[in-house]
Parts: sequence; structure tokens; C-alpha cells
Amino acid sequence: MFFNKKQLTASDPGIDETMAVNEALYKQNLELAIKNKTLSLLRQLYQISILALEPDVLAEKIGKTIQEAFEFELVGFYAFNQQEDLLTPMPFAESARLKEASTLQSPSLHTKKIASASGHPFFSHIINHKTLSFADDISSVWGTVADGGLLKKFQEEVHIKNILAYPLLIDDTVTGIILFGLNRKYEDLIQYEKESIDSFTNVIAVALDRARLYQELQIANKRLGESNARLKELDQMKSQFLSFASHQIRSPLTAIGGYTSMLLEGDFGEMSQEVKDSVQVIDTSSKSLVKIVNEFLDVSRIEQGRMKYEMTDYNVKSLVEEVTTELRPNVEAKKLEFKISVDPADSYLSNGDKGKIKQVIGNIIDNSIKYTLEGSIKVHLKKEDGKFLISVSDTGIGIEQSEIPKLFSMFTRAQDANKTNVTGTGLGLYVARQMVEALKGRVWVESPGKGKGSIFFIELSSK
Amino acid sequence: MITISNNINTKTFDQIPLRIIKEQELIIGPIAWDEARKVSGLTIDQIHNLVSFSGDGKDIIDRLVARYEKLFGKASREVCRDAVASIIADMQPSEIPISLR
Repeated sequence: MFFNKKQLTASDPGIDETMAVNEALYKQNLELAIKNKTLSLLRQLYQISILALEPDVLAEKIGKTIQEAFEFELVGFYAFNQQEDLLTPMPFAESARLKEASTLQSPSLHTKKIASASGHPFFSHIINHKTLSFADDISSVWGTVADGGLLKKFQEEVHIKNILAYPLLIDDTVTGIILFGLNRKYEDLIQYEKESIDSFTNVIAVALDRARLYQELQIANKRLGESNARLKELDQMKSQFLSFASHQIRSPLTAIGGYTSMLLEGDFGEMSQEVKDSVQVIDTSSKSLVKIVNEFLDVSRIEQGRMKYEMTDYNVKSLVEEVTTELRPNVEAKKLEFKISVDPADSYLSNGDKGKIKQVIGNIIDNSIKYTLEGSIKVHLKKEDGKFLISVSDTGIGIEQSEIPKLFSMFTRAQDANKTNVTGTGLGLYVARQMVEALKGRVWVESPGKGKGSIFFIELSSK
Repeated sequence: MITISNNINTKTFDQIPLRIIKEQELIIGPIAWDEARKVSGLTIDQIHNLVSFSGDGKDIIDRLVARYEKLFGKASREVCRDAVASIIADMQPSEIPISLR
């Protein structure tokens, strides 16, 4: 909008009309100027709110900006805890003369918490009615936390004529209070000041609430980080202990296994059948124990990232035949049908740690044998989309759908595993998955449900 | 630091015309400075935001307010009052220029 300077100084008969136009333009410009100032302040507060993340820092910066913009004596914040009915002061921004008075003879208003806030003579109105409140006498505001005489002297010294406070609301709940110390009466505040305060209290409430949430998140993250570090430490200690204990157990077991084998082979002379049967139990038990110890050692190596994989080219078909040949006696001992089938393929060559893959295939077939009381075990190998797929299907105890996702976790066994009188650590499948995945393969299980058997799949890349 | 005593602090009083001009500038633009220059006794340094008096300060401020009022009506007088509300709040009534009371 423009004002014509020539018009302004004109002295022709149209002067009244020109004056009326100028006045009208002036009023419109005034409205725009007030809106501009309010928007400018809101923009400043918004910028502060996105740059400051800590509640106290944010409160300090916002308070300082408002204090300087309106030249109030004091701008401060209280955080309100509804459960404790407690107002906790946050940083207060003070005018120069209030700062000076504070250093000389401060009632330390900004350090005092206000208990029983909802029953407080001044703050109760804000908390209970969620509206602004103002008071001429600062004793009515801080009389519960400071000496009345001192407050009166302080009020005179710093020229505070009115305390004005607004609730900071989030979802219609009071989360805090913003408080202004004025050198004028509330009624003497100009329109711009009143409108601005109305506009920015909501913005401040949201900004402070966001900062509070951020701080809580920071604290939670810090605690989580500490707990995580402690857990990692404990986990490492556990793995070290596991490794140490397993090694200590395996050495004597090797000796037991060696001597029992020699006994059974008659190296120390013929034994009676009764003694031979007992030695056979010792031999079986020690082998079982060696297997368990080896699983513990595998877990320990995996957990500590010490598992080594020796990559070589190998023939998957030959490997499957090798494993199934070794396990056939176990299948026959349980009078189960054992079927091995291999689909024709151009090549059965793969690259990986042959020993580990053999261990995995063996473990999975062995599991099927263990958990199948009657029926059959079928092992099938095929090559599809450049990958080998080994499936081991059985007519065993089956698996509930809800159990499938956790079956490959540590110390997990099928729900009905105990019914088969099979002992196990619940580590075999965990070790299998870790090894296969380390070799860029996949292992998974499907089952129609409890009592309906299961199919385990091992997918390996081809060379 | 702004100090307030029973007497008018000169520095604070000097701020009154500057506040008024800057507030008017927000509404009417650079004309606010041009018009202020026409008030006798008031020396303006717009570049450095400095205003000084020669003569009766209260009278000069009254003439400045009157100049704006003459051009833009009563609303401009209210703007002048509002611009210095926080300053005159600390002054004795007798120290406040009549136009701003």
C-alpha cells in the first residue's frame, strides 16, 4: 500500500477526502503490520523449536525471544506433573534489571518447585480451568515458596506490576505453564501483545512437549544402549565359559571313547556278554555326549564369530549318498522305510564347506529318524533354477504352525519331542541354519501340523 | 543495562522517538522517517538508527506524534502509544509526553 506524499501535503479543497483515504489505508496497513509482527515472532519461535531439542534449552531460547520481543521483565516456564501435582520450574528469561536484582537479593523463584499446584492460590485457576490467570501481587504467585516481605521488596525493585500466566495444553491436558512478569497491568497490554501471546502458547506447548518426548527417548535409548552393552558382555562371558567348559569336557570324553572302542574290539581280551553290553552303553553314551559337546562348541564359535568355513568344490549328490549310507543303520534299527531319490541334473557340483554341509544334512536326517516312530524317511535331491534343493520328509511327530518360526532358535525343540524319548539340546537346528546361511544357502521346514510329519528343506547354490 | 530511577533516564527517554518512528515505519514505510525529519528539534540518523533532541524532549515527541496524527489520523497516535508502552510504564505520569498519556 502506498501513501502519496503530494496528497499528504496538498491544501486543495479535497484535503478531507485525501485525509480519509490516508486514514483508511493507514488502518489497513496497521492490521497488516500487526499480523506481520505476529507471524515474524511465530516464525522465530518455530525456528527455535526445530533447532533446540532439549526441553530446558528450548524453554530458555523461547523465553529469551519473547522477553526481548515484548520487553517483559520475566518470561518463564513450569512443567506440570499431573500425577505428582507438581510444578517444576524450567529456565526463566529475565530483563536486565531483574537479572541485577536477582544477583543482589534473589528470592530464587526459578529454582523452587511448587507442590500441590492444583490447590495453589494462583496456579490452581490455570490448571483446573485451563485459562489464563493474572495477579498484581507476586506474593500470590510465589508466596508459598518465598518470604512475603522479600517478594514485596523484590517486586518494587524490578518494577513487576503484573504476573500473567497461561496453561500449555496438549490434548486438552495441562502439561505446563508459561508465565510473564510485566511492568504494566494486564489491561495495559496492547492488542498485538495479547494476540501474539494467544497465538504462540499453543505453538510453545507443542514444541516443549516434543522436546520432552525427545528427551525421554534419548534417556530410554541411553539405558537401552547400556543394557545392550551389558548383555553383550554377559553373552561374551557365556560363550567364553561355554567354549572353555566344552573343551575341558571333550578331552576326557575322547579318552573314554578311545578306551571303550578298544575294549569292544577286544584289545584287552574277551569280555563276558554282560560286561560287553555295559561297555556298549558307555560307548553310546560317550558318543552322544561328544555330539552334545560339539554342538556347544559350534554354538560358541558361531556366537563369537570364530566359526571357520573351508570352501572347496564338492559333489552334492555324492555327499547326500555318503550321509544317507552312514545313517541307514539308524533308520533300519527303527524299522523305518528309507527312500533316497535324486533327479537327473547336468552337474551336481557346488562350492562350500563340505564338512559343514555334511553335518547339516546329517543333523536334519538324524532329527527325522529320531522323531519318527513309524513310517518312512524320504530324502530327495533336485536341481532347480541353478540351486540344489535337498528335502527330508518324514512321517514323524510333525510341528504346530506356531512353533515353526522359533524352531531354528537356540534351545528350541518341537513341543512333542519329549514324547519320543529323544534327548536333545535344541541346538542342532540353530547350528544348521547358522552354517547354511553363512554358506549363502537356506534351510526351512514345512509341516501340515502336529502328528502329520514334516519336510525339511536345504537349499544350496550350485557352482 | 537499563536503569530506572525516580528521574527519567535520558537513554530511555531518547528511545521514545526512535521506537515511534520504527513502529510507524512498519506501517507506512520510509515516509515515517521523512516525516520525522520535518519535526524541528529532532535530528535523525536513519543509517545508524540514532535520534537526538535539541530542546524540550517532551515537546518534540508531542510534535512528532502530532505530525503522524495529522497525516494518518487518530489510529497513528495509538500506534505511537503502543510502541512505547513498555517504556512509559516505568515513567512517572508527569514525565510522559502528553500525547502518549
